[in-house]
Amino acid sequence: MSQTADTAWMLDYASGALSEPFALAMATHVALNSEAAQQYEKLNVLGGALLDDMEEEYLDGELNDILNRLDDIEPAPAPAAVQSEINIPAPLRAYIGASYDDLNWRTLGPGIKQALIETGVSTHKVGLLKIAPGRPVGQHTHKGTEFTVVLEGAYDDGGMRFEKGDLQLADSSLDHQPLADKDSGCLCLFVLDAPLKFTGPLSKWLNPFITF
Amino acid sequence: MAIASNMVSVQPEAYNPAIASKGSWMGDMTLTMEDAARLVAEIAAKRDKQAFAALYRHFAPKLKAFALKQGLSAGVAEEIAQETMIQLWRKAPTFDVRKASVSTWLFTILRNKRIDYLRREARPDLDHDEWRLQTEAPEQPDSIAERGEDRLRVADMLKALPDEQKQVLHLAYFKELTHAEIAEELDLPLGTVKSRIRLALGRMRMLVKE
Repeated sequence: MSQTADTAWMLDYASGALSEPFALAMATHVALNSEAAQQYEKLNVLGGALLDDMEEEYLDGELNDILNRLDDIEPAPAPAAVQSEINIPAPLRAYIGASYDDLNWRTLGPGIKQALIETGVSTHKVGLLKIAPGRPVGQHTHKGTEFTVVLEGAYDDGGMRFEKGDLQLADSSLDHQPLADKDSGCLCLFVLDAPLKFTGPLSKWLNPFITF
Repeated sequence: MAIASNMVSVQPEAYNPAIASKGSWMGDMTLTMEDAARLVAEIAAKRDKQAFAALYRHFAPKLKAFALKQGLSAGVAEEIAQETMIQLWRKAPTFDVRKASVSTWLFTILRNKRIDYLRREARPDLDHDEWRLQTEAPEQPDSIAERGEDRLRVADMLKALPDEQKQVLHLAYFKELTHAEIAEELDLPLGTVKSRIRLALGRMRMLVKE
């Protein structure tokens, strides 16, 4: 059974309320995880029902004007199949391009690399984390909310396993040390709306996380 | 029903939304789910403008009402409603009628257009791509098929919800408040809001085919 987003957060996403950085994480999660995709579809169905329920509003425009525009509008082409060795989920592709390798990877500590992703939203930090097989991330808690979506590989955290497409939500109630799978390691997307707070002996290593 | 190619303006003589019954002011029959799907198929097959006109008369007023309820100005709401219908025209050939109803699809287009509009307002310099973070139904590869009887039950379920659950859904869809913001707005603990959301959606989960 996969780890999917909390219902309330999925509602935030489906209704359109969710901030862009968290929406990126959610979109990636939904693109990779069919259970999450189904949850999301149900919330779209609910939106459709709300739309059906609306009382009609008076229209100012002329139907004829719209009809006249239609001739010039070409049908949208079918989405092109994307050729790439490692399949980057569609929502991420718009932000990072065709390859994970092209990003600016920095080593944060032994077996841990990070590449930040620019979203233009200064209140959130977004990036990718590459963790070598069997390596832990430094023990930490969160001042705000942290979303983690597994893109490749897997990690274990507090008895739970997170695999490709899974999403983990963590906040100040969770103090944890995720551990990358000993065979595959892990590549994850993370989104933060506030700094992490390192609580373990490795906290000095991971200072860069703290500068937000 | 023959639709004259020389369309009359959508401006009736003395229209009062409070009085007019649903659908009647446009001289429109109410579209069933199946009717709507058939009309989209006609657009897909032959770019049928009359089919589009029928869909427009049914849905554009509701799309505008939805956008207005979300707090957009009348001009912007109407523009977004138009652009949503134009998107339907563009995407009709690739829409899978078995996977989602036209209403669900239009809701997702409208939602994406509105997000795009708001983001563009806030940061006009950014290159926005409206499909980027929210797909349109039914683009999920493993979509469950939306069944007619499920949709009717969703509508009934909505009406039957206790007020406090109806309220959180309305704040989510019409005020675009996140669940955390809803908790603040209603001055309630986060846990209470989350449980109301779960209860409201829990009923729907039982109704929609897994």
